[in-house]
Amino acid sequence: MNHNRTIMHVDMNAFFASIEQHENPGLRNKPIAVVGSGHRTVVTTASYEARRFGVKTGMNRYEAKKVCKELIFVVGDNRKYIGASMRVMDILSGFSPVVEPYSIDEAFVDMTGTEALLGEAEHAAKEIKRKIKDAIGIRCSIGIAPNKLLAKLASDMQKPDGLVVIKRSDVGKVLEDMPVGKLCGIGPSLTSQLEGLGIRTCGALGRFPEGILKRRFGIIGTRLKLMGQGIDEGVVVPVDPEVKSIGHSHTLPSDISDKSAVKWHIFKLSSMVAKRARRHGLMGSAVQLTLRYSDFNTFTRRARLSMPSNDERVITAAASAMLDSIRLAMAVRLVGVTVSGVAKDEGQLELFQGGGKRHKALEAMDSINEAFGSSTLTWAVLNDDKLESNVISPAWRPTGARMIDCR
Amino acid sequence: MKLQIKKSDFVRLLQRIQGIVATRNTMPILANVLLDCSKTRLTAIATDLEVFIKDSIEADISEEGAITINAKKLFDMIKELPMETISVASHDDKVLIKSGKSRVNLLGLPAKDFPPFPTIDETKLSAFDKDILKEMIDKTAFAVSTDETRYNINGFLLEKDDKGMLRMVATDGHRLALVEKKDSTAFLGDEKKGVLLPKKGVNEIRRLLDEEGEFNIHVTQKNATIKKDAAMINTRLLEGEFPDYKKVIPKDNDKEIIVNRDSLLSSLKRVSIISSDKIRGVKFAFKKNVLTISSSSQELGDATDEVDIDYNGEDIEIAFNARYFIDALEAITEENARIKLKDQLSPGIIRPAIADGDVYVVMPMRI
Repeated sequence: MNHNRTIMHVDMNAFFASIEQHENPGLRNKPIAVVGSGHRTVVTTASYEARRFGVKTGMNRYEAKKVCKELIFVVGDNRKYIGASMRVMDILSGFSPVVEPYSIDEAFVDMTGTEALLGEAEHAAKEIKRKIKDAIGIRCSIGIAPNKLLAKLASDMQKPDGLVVIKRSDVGKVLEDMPVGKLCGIGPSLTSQLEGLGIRTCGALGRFPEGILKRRFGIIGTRLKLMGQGIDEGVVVPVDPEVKSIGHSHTLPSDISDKSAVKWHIFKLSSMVAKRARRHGLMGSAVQLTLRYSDFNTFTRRARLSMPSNDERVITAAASAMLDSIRLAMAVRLVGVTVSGVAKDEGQLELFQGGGKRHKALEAMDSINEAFGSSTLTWAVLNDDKLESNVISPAWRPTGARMIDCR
Repeated sequence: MKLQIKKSDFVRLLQRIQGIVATRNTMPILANVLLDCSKTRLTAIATDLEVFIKDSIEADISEEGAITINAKKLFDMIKELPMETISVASHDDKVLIKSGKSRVNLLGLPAKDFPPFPTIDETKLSAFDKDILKEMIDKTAFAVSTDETRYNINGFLLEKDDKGMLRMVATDGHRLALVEKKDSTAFLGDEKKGVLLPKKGVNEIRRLLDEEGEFNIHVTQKNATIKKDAAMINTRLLEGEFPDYKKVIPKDNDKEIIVNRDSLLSSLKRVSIISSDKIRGVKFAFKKNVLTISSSSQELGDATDEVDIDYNGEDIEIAFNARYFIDALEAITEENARIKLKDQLSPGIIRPAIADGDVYVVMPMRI
């Protein structure tokens, strides 16, 4: 491990809202909230103007309007945001080959060794901010530090439009009075547990006896102490981390309790999962069915497939069999289908179940959809519906099997 | 129970039942062997509830009785005893074993708790040609699915047809092995057309078939029993339906290739080494009288081999899992093999060049 690293964390400020404000001058300097298209939607991003009133991500329309009467709701356009995100990642790749997209609006960039070419990282950061502003018209906060943990902390320290550098020699000073909850990875629950031990600041955490932390928190105890000291060995991983599962879920427009209606959604979700697995040459060896009831209780069940598959027929059959084996406790509000145990599709064809013919048919369907749009050719029962997801998950990545078509 | 027994006999008896003893099981008694002495014989029984094995030997019995003892520990212990004569005595749930200056106390479980060996109508047993069964198992065993969730292909289909042919078929969903023999000994009796024999039971039967002697068989709706002298194996039949194998044996594969079995085998073994994947995909390019086999791996490099063939049809390129091809070729005893293909995505057939009985079907991989 190189101990003289320069890591940058780039965080788009109020990403979705900023894009909307940039595109529509009428929304600029106004409190706006980006929401989903359904009537049961929540705020995905609020502009800084709205945040000042206390509008937060996750509030429903009613709650948001209550804290901010002038709030303007904008229905989000995921495709637009994905396009913008990809342009940002592209810009970052121009500065370093090691870019790790951390979510749709955040990325780590390993700037180690770029000084000879680009000058000080701080200078490069200004250049990045300018290029992003030129390309998509929005601002970002950049943190520069010796590791990912501190870089993320630095980008959080000045928002919006920030640029904060934490030098190696300043780490102790910066962390001394920094509340532990500001560190990425220490959430509200951990914060209050640490408070129980009398630990409020990173400085205190870094000095705390490791033995007690280990007894209290298990193996992460050691890591917590290191975090308090500002030590993080995590590397910037440029490639898509290996995908372990592929899944889609759908919140239904209204709750349903009819099993055959649920099965229609299972088939639709299975088709999406299978299509995505095939596109990336992957197969799953188990299928998981998720049902969320109207009281938000969530039921999941998993079944191993006798043979790894990326065929919707097989995935649907497994998920439907699980549905058949249970009694619906109440009406269902969300259905999810996930394949796990994902591994490379080695290309071995099946002797039974149609074998090569089935493969040819799916391949033809995929290539037609690739060329003419994703639902050009679909199964007859799904014909009246579009096959894309309409929510961007936190695991979304601009490339690889986690790149999901969103609308 | 109280007896004296020869060490070598006892070892042989215990060895016979070792294969079926459950190593991890929710029922502790299934890790045990039931020892039962009556009159002049000591009988050992073991089971995993699917397969039962029973055998007995002559012993010098002074008191009848029965007990169950951990089969593996008993076997390991008897093998290590110093003298050829062993005395065994049970009291309550314990067994005292003495040989020379060694004394071993083993804790057991009561015999009455051991699952009973299924009752068999011995008059229904009929003699069969063990070599036929042995050959059929050997030529198909490699194709049996190892996936325990696919219970209907987790064994061997044994069936007979109206023309007096006996057929054994095994598949794992990617390839299939079929062996057909003239049935001169009424294997399945009258009432049964076909049965599904589980892999584990067949493994035990196969071991018994290596011995010499007269073999008898009886198949009922639920079980199959094989008997040789005092040794008896009873296996539950698999439930479920074996897939319609006839449908996947292609009839219109028009590209016919004759190849020397040994040279194709050694080429395949060489070339398939250069393949990093779990599945060892190998490319076959058939041209007029020459077959080029190749494989490549990003991490390892690549390999190519040429094999002389007898072929006059159009060029065809196709990929197979080398393992499937090698298994099939190894099961062929003739000098030459006959390969029949149709296209890149259709199953290929491998069989002996002359004999009719054996058919191996292998599904290709996408190139």
